[in-house]
Amino acid sequence: VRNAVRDLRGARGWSQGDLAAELGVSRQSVNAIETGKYDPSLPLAFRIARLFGQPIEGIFFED
Amino acid sequence: MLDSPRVLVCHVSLTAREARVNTIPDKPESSDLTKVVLLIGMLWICVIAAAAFWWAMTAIMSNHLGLPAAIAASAIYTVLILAITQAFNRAWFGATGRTRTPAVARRDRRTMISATVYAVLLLAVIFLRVVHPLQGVLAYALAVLPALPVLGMAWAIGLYLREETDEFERAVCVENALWATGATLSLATIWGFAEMLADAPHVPGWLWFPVWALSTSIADIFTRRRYR
Repeated sequence: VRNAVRDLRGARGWSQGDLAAELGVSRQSVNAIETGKYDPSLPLAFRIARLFGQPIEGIFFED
Repeated sequence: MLDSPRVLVCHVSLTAREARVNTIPDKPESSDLTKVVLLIGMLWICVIAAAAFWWAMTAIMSNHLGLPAAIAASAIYTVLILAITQAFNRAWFGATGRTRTPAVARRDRRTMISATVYAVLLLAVIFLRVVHPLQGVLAYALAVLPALPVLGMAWAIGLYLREETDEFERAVCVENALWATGATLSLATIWGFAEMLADAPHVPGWLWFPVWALSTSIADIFTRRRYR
């Protein structure tokens, strides 16, 4: 699954650590999600979507 | 990559800024080489400490210095090994660039308590066996005692998986455990046949848990590398 997390984070001027702190996860988690190497669970995906004020399908896309 | 026009705007207008943001390391992860050096260094320190302990015990026995000297040497060795383990654990955690979550702190505390109880019980049972050898069911009951805190260490990992709120860290921990389990079972099977058919030196069964624990650290290097 591809995603726009890095773009959205960049738009807010946040570092990976900032986003990690907002989501309550480690920086490595954010990095793994951004690079598409780790697909977050639905609860975490919902948290990410809520944080950026977007629907899940506006952030995560099928390959 | 981006299907949504709204997201595309963000991407185009903030590429330079994003590039700057992405280069800021929050807490840099050490290189794999550093981790390997750390791992090998810890192993060597443990081997040197064990050799020193062996030498001290041999000297105590041959000079008939008695039980108090043996207990003192064992206590010093135990404290040394626990300190080495704790220092390695902290250094390893720092090398992975992670922040210690409350779940990690609890897991470490439980592991150290289990390790301390293990060391005390093991030494107590060994000395009891030397002073007053037991037979039958009682001998079995005493022999099982040091194994219980080792199970406590496994239990600490189980609790960590239940308490860790970061799902990625949970996934990494599970992956590491699976790789380590596969590696340890394979090694134990191969070594078992080597002992039976090729006269390889005997490896006591209790050694496989430390091998498993070490394997989780080695697996951690590869797992994190894949997600980087």
